[in-house]
Amino acid sequence: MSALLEIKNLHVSVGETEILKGLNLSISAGEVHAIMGPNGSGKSTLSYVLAGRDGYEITQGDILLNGVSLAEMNPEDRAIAGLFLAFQYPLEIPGVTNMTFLKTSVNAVRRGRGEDEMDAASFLRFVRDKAKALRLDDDMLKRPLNVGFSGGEKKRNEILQMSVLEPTMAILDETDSGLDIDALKTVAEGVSAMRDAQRGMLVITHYQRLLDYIKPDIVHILAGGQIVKTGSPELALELEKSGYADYIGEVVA
Amino acid sequence: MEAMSSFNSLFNSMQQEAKDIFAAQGWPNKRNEDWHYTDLSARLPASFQNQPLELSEDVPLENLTCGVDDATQLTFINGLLSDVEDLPEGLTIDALIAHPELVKQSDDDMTDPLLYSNLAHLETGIVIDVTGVIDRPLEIHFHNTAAEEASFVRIIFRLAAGASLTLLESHSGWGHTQLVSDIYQAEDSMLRHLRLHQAEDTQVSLLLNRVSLDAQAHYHNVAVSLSGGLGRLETRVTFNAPGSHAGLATALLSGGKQHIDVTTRLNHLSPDTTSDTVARTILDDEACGIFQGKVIVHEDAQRVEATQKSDALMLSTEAMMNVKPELEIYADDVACAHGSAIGEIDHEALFFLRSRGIGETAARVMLVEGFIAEILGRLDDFAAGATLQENLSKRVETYLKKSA
Ligand SMILES: Nc1ncnc2c1ncn2[C@@H]1O[C@H](COP(=O)(O)OP(=O)(O)OP(=O)(O)O)[C@@H](O)[C@H]1O
Ligand SMILES: [Mg+2]
Repeated sequence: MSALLEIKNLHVSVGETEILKGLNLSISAGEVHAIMGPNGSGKSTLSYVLAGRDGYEITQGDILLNGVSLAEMNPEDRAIAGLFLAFQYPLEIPGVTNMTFLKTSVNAVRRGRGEDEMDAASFLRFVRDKAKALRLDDDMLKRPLNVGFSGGEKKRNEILQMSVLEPTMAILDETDSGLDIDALKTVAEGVSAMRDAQRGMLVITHYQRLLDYIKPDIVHILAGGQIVKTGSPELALELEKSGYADYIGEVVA
Repeated sequence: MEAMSSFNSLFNSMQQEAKDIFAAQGWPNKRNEDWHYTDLSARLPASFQNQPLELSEDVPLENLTCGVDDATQLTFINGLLSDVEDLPEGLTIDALIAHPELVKQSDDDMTDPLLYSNLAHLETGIVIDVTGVIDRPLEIHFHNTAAEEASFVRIIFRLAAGASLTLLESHSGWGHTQLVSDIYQAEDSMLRHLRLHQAEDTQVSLLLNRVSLDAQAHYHNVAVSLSGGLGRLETRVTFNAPGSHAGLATALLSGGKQHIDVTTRLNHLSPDTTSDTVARTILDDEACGIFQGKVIVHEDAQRVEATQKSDALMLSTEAMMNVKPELEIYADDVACAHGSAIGEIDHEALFFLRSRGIGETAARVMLVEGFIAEILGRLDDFAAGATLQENLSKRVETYLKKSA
């Protein structure tokens, strides 16, 4: 069986600087992979290049989702194809209510996938249920998107977007950062609830805490723009003790 | 009879004076400091021949008004009042010609180009008295049927103590429109005033609003422009007594070679008065936007709070925005602030929306709509506010999609 997400020898430059330097990664449907790595190693760069952000140039290699190359695809078509990125720093959008945004987004994706759009009433019910599970109250749906939301609320709102868009491949970039203990649990439950045999997930994190809840199948270490080590969940525990010193050396050398 | 003819001679002599000044000075132009950015000498013919009203075909106005079904409609076609519906109780309309004292009061400064050029060509003048709390909005629609047509209208509004009204003013069509509205608000009165400017791209519109506020009188203005052509939306407010307040909110969407000028002059004569001005301007193509905001706080006017903010969103590198804030503050215990910003579409926000499946055009439209949402939000308290917001959002969306 071919992988859901296949990243092959990926080289990515931002401006003149090469940030990803031959990254290989393969995630099959049903699997949850975690990526850990020091600050500045290229984790967010990987997530942005997967989502199709401008200014991140693929100079070599390719990214395949279900066997189809994403390299030339625009961000909206990647979302329609089933890719989702929970941002490390979610954007604030004044004047656009969360609800309007969610509805526009869901209907755009449904249209793109050849499904019927949802009418206002059924959408409201659908979103409210999902929001409740993430402990986001109605008021948060009426407010402008992320404006004045606390760090934790923004992150829970990212997971809400994931749960309404039902992606096949979700990338979570430090969704645990800035969360208090209860919110971490809520978010982890939200993510775990979406775990199923058709869906792949890539969880970027610095902390074991999140991985205690979302038990990954495989853990990778990204350093210096490459995956330098791949292993079982125990790898994360090891890192907690000894840090990245061993791995950073390998790349610099 | 005698009174009427003496009025006529008063009016005629005032109008003759205006004509003489117009003959010497012409349309508003750069020689006047207030018209530095908007020179009309090249945009308008030397004179207009006022045509007698001839409406051979019905003019379809449905899509041009504010679209509130139960509004009382007054319609001006080419400067002549063509249609008056039954008026609700507490609202009366009279001819300006029956109120000589008001014309004199209104034309207090013949050096003002908006006043002398309006009076020199004046076709219709009316006085609207509001004596009670009116629930139904009053819509006054102005339409010019052709490029060679012009409208020169003067309207005087008088709101009695405690009176309130939602006024919808809309402009459409071609040619030239010049409207002077004088609004006198007695104590505790409330006027909510929407000005919808959606003329064709050849129209030149000069719309002047002069508001005079007594104690606790509140004036809320929301102006939305979706026009081509050239527009000057000017509002002057005088705060005569404590507790008076004015809120001026403007959303301008311009493209092509449009020239749109928002000028405000807030004259705080009295202590304990407040004003709040916010302008959001969106400029595409080679459009030119102007915001001139002047706040004057007189020596005795302590504890005045006046804030003024102008934000522009530039959708094209060839568009141009001019901002000229002026604060003249002679009292010491006041809180006045001015802020202005000129920016572009936020590319990170655009990527965020697109990453959620929203196509590039729709995402841009969403960000632009978000930029002016606060302005449309101010219609909440207007009579038929929800309908107005819905109609305007749709028009804004149509406008943006057409130009995207
Ligand atoms: N737009 C950019 N221009 C120049 N350099 C950039 C740009 N974006 C990222 N970089 C650089 O690329 C490197 C990788 O950044 P990235 O954000 O991917 O790291 P990260 O692994 O996500 O770090 P963190 O753990 O702090 O989130 C950093 O050295 C960063 O400074
Ligand atoms: Mg990062």
